[in-house]
Amino acid sequence: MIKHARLLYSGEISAQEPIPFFEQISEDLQLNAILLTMGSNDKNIIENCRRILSMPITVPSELLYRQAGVRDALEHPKAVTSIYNSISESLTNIANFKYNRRHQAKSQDPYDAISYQVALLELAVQGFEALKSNVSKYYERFSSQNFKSFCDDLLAEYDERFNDFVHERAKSVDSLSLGSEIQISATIGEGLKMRHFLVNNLEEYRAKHKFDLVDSLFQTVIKKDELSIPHSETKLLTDCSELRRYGLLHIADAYAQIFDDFATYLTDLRDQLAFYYGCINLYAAISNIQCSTCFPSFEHPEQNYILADGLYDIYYAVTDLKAPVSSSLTKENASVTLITGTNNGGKTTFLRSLGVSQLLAQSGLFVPAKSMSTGIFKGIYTLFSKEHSRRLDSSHLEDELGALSKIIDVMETHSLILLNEAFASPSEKESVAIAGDVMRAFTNNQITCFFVTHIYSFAKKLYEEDEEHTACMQAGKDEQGQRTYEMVYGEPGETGYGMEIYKDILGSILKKET
Amino acid sequence: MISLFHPTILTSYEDLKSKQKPSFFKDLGLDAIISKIIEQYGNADIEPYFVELSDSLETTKFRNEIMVELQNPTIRKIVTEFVEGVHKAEQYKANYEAMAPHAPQKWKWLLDSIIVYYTAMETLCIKFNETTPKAIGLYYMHRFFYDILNVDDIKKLRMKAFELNDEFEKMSFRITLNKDRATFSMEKDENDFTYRLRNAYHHGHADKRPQYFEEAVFPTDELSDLEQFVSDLFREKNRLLYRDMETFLALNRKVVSDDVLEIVRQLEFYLAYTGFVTDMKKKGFPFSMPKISKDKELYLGDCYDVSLAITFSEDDEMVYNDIVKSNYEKAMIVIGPEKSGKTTLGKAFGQCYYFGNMGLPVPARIAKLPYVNRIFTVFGVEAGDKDHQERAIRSELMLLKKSFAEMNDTRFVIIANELFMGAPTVDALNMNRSLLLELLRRHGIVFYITDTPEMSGNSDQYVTLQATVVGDGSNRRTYRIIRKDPEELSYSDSIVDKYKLNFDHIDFRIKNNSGIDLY
Repeated sequence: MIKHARLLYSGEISAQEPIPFFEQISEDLQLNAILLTMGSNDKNIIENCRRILSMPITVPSELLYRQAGVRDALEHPKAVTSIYNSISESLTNIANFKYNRRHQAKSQDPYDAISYQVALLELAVQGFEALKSNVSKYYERFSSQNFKSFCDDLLAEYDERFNDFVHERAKSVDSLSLGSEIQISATIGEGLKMRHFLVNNLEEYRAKHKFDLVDSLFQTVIKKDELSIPHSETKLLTDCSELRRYGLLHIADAYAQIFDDFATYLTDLRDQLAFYYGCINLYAAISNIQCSTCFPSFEHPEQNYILADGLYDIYYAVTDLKAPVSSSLTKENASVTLITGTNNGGKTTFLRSLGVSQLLAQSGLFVPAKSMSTGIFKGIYTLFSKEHSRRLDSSHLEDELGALSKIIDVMETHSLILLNEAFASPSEKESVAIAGDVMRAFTNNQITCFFVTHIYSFAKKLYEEDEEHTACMQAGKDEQGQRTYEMVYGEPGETGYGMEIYKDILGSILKKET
Repeated sequence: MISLFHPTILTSYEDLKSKQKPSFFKDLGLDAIISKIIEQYGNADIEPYFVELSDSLETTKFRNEIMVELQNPTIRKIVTEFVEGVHKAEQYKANYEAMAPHAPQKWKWLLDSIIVYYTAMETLCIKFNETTPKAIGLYYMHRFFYDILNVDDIKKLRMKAFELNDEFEKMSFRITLNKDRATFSMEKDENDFTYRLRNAYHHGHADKRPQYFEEAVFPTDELSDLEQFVSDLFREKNRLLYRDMETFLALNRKVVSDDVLEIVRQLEFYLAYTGFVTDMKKKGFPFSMPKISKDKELYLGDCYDVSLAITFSEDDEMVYNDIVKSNYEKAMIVIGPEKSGKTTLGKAFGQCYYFGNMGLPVPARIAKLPYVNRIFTVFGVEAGDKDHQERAIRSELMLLKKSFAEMNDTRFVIIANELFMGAPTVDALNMNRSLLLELLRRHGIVFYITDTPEMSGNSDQYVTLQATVVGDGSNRRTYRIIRKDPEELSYSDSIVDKYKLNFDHIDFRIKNNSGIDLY
């Protein structure tokens, strides 16, 4: 059995559970653009990066282990990509073989089944040889436990005698169908039925040399303790033939089990490496546009906080190919951060940069910021109001509260939730009541919440009532009153959902009338 | 003999079979639920047990303990294996009975039946020594089996059966097959060809245990020609053994005792319900073990009608409701427009009471129920035309009279559903009021469903549950029924309530998810 490579997890946990609603989170945070950059046209890399990002780590030691692996991969990109490509090629060869011989795979002929499984196993062994040769070129360069252990295990445990054994079987397997002798033993079981069938031996056809001829003549004489099953009994011979078929299929199955072990190892290794390959691609893309990145620190993993300097939206970085505006988070004790301000001021972008950074941080990646220190959240959730459904009618509120209820169904204490323009109801009084209850319950359960809201009265009330645990941010403006798109701390401002537009459109007319 | 349904009284399957189903079975949709439970468990013969209501709080707790114990996967596995073992023994006995009188295979099936039966019982006793169940019913069962195994005659019978069986276990052979020859030998060969392959792969550390292939090469219970051929050879060689087996078994043809079969059926009742609950939970429908108490406080969180749930497809969405009543309140009055879910709630409430009384998990996320030993339902009769209205009212009143006659004490629950619909409005209101007063006077638990809004209002003795509609003017039914005065309802309140998003609910849900002790 080949030892499972531990490139992603040290072993304290075998794998993290995927977070709920990841598809929705991915849509809200626009992860697809980031994943496309990570994948660089390789679907397998995209899918595996998506899978890993959907499983943010909650165990501090595992998180540091993953970070070490990512750092190592970024330092040795050629080694990682070369090993990955070698495995991909082997697995493609296996897939092609399976496709070309698909009719043989379904064959009822047991000789066909053995021949097919041995050929597959030979291909897997060849792939393994290629992998070993590749790893031996690079293994001394790696410094992380992740890659060093993988290389050591692979090079130490792989036994070439098995390789020879398989090649030998492959050479002789065709002669099986020319004639073979199989010996099967069994015992008497319940109701005198046969049970515990065991294949004792299988001998392939051999060209008869002089020595074999003598041996063969000897074999035709029935031994003392043996009884010949009569040829005249057709039904008996049919039963014998069935028994022989089952025996041969049992051997084919033994080959298949070993092939499955190899194939599972290679596939699993390729999928683990795919994540590191994705990190290398993303890092290269960001480095090209000279944006800052850093590995976040987790000094107080059990606490709920996010502190960051120069935090920016990686989505804009990889789509616009230039450095976006950044913001900073400095309030450590804020369990609720309200984000208010005019439309198109960068609130949603800021919320997205927060969510993406936390996901990347808890996946062991670097983050789009100059520096970041954060706690480890048990869950990460998003509830973004969709532009097209921002209508103040019953079905919208019903949909939104339905979605929130599903989140609450699984939410645990010490989670992070990002709310974007939630709880808009036809009546502000009702919105305030709903939002108030929700925030109070979040605060009571150590849920960290970032809430982009237009409900000014709610924001003001909450900020005044609990200034210690509530922070407020809004889109900054420069001296000329122009938007800077940077989020800065302050008191809740009139969001002016309509007033800004009202002034924009009617401002000049109103002045004239005045 | 012991019973898993009552701590002191024996429950006879035959007696229960002749017992009539209570009338509330039909009203509460229990027939359909019970059929589903039995069908899912492979149509086992357990239906009569569903009419065996508990007669005391102790009996309910006695059953409840067994049910709780079966939630433990280790205990459930031990019990399931025992039940399967006994069924296997029964099957082997049936094979024996189906065989021709002098077939040697016949006697071997009977011997196997004895072996399988006592092995199952012994295994259960050994495993219960290691993982001792806390439920008193299972403890009694353990003792009962232990005593059976230690009766002198049984000990002798087991010893002889296992001796004979050991001789058969030694019979092994090998068959060599090649292109034009097949030979048979009684010599044993333990060499495993696949070991060479596995050992090469595992660097010389492969598991040395032989890897048998147990596929049904000859799948029927009868012997194939090859098996017959082999069997004849062994019989020829072991004539004395075969004769000894026949002599011994001719005197021991009865294998599974009727008492043990009765216990197995009772265990199957519990296992069937456990399987049903597991299946429903997988589909997203909550079940919980109720806290049954002597006081009158009642809490059902997220209860629902199981008879409706079992008809749901994946796309259907269940509406869950809460029913809450304090220790001092006696009645719950449910009002609301037609087809707003009132009767469904009545069924859900009744089902919780029925399953709770039986000591089983109930269809609700959280449940606390006052103990009752009688359940009454009086469901309004469809009146149709005027000629039938009087007959309908008479029929309802007769049913009520019968129920009143059976109310011996205060430990009852009654579900009255839309009564006197055939009467003129004022008459209906007067009758309903009078009936409610009478029921309150008897201090039971009253669930009163009516479409007469004048029955609503809160008092020290009863609470009103109101079926809600969407507040957007469409009057669309939400099927949510909440404890609230109608005038207090607002548009968003009903949605917030539907999704349980007020402070208390969110706080409770997050703490519950996080495993924080709520009490």
